[in-house]
Amino acid sequence: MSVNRCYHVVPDKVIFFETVKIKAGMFFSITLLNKVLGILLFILALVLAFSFSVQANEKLNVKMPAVYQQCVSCHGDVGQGNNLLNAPVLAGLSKAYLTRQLANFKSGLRGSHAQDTFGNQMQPFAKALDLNKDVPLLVAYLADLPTVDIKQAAKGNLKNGSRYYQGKCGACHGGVAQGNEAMKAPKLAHQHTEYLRRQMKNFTTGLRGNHANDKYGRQMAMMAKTTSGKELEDILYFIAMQK
Amino acid sequence: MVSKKIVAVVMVVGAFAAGAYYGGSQKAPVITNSSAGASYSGGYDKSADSDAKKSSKKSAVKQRTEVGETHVVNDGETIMAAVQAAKPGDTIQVMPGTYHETVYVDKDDIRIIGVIKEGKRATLDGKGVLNDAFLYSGNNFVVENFFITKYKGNGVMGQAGNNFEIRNNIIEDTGVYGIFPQLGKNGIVEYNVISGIEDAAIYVGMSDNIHVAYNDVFANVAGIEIENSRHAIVENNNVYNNTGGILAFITPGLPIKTTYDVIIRNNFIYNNNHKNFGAPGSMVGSIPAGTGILIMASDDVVVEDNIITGNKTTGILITDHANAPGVTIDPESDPNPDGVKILNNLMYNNGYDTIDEVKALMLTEFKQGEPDIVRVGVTNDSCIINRHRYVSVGVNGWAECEFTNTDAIDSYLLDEPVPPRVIDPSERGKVVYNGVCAGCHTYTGRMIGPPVQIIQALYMDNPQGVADFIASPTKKRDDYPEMPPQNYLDEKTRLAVAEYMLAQKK
Repeated sequence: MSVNRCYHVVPDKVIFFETVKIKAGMFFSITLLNKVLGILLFILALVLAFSFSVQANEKLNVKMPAVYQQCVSCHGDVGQGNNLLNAPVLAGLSKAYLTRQLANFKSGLRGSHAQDTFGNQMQPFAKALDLNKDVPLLVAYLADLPTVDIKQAAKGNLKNGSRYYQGKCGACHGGVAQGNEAMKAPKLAHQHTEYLRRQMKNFTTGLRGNHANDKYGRQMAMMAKTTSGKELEDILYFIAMQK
Repeated sequence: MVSKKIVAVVMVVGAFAAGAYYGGSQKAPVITNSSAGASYSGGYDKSADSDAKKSSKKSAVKQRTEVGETHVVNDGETIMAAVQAAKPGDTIQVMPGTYHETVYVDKDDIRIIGVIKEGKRATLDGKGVLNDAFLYSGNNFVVENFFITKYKGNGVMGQAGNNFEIRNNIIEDTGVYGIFPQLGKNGIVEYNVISGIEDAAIYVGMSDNIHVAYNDVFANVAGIEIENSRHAIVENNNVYNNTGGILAFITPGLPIKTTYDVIIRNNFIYNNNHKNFGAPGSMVGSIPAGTGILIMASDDVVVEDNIITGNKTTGILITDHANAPGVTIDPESDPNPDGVKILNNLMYNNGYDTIDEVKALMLTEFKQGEPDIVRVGVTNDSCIINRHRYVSVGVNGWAECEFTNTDAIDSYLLDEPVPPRVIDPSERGKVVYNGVCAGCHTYTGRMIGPPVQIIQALYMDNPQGVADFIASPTKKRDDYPEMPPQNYLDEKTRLAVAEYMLAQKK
């Protein structure tokens, strides 16, 4: 079943990448695109193989809903994400945050900007979901999954990261990056640094949080613009160090 | 080969260290007698201050020429009712008993005096529910003789009131600040006993010409703070078992950007080793336990004739903003503590269990041991006398002070009280922002509440949302205290301050 899904997913991606190339006319040459696809397929296979082994692990008492099968190839069977596929960790994110983001992808508040490659990629999956039927199953599964221990490659100055994290992020995302639903702020700990860095760039450059109706995205975009460079790297390092 | 090199390096370092040690000890130290020598002239030029008037009388609050009415409050009644009935010039006497209320004083020239009868005081008990015991914004305010306990925010908070006297109060376990005059000029805080405060027992914020004396402060995170304030004297206080004893510093991101001309003298500052129980990640939560005096970024701080003992990290810690944890940089504030002046102090048994950062710093001067004085980061024009007495790091290059005492300066209080602060309606938002909001919110850093910059993002085009929130706040953050309602401000003022807050850029 998973294998079928895999075949189903990949052609979508092919079409998707070509669309991007024609639309945006940049980033990838045809050969490079082929290479990337090759690597992607290889990784997908690896991920699937890996995921079967994890599924066999009986420590997990959370049962995967069928509708999550289509997410596995990128986000992993236990929501562990996949940095190489630019797919963030979903395990342990709050139901409210996941629901809001899926709704935003579906309505186009998120992932609509032409240059938001990976957001574009996510949109068709979200659009196919039923917000009332599928999404509650998905988010209940993901929110209950244990957080993932990630080997973070981030480097930085912890003291500086701490002071600017507390000054700019902690009031909403929590003192130890645990997230705060009252502020509509997701957990940031246990997330790939690369994903966080990319989202900060998206917020700063208007790829995310640019829609008039995306209130929380706009809030984040305004804060994202207050930091950059070494200060931002130190903040990301501080987040990576939170357990 | 490699190991030989290392041995060689170690030997060179060792030789340097030995040289520094023996070389240093063979020179006869300069011993300066503080009873002789010049006196420090201070940093306050009365003639340049248009608020200062000449007079032979000295008090923070105007002497009364006509005595007003006296209102007596008995147990079972409320102090607030008496304040409402009072006119400027009146005195309110509060009889012993237990009062559960917040007293707001926005009239000028009100004196609220607790009557102590055979040791029994008028007690204000917030029962863990109320935020403040006394909030005054009137000028010429006096509050005396109360026992204040179990409030969540402040024992006594001043909001832009000039000329105040806060004395003889016992304040226990009242949340964030015990006594907190904010944005006031010409005030006295004396003879208070304050303990169990999770930020500062006495917090002088954005104020000028302040005298803090004869207070007993213990078991708080910070004992006495002179913060973003000028012309302050802190003397004859008993400061012990706090996390940090006496602090003179600049908090970045507040509307008033400087601290200078502070004299810390004749205090007992000992055993300030209390575990830090401030909010993690907040500025005050980053003070290392065992800090006797902390001087951060403030200029012209004089430390004289204190008895400083048993503070395990160090007796005196001097730092710039860059080296202080939990502090964001404010481009509008000079981050360096310049013109620090350390005169004679009795220092003993400090630094006996210091932090790794200090140990590492000492190694750079080939020193070991228990530091009395630690300076980290940039400082200019600082001076010290009798430096040979102390184990110190970072003061080798300091000059000898050109004076040995501060005897010439009696007080920075004004001869005549300053004129009452008159608030133009167009300035309402600004005064409330400076006098109320800035007590807990800085522009970029985490103090008690979230930074203003973040509030701006959350309410970018919605000042009404801020105005509504401050009238009846809800708890939104586990690791921040709940904001107290500001519903004593009228609707127009709440909107004015919300608009002002959202427009701030620094």
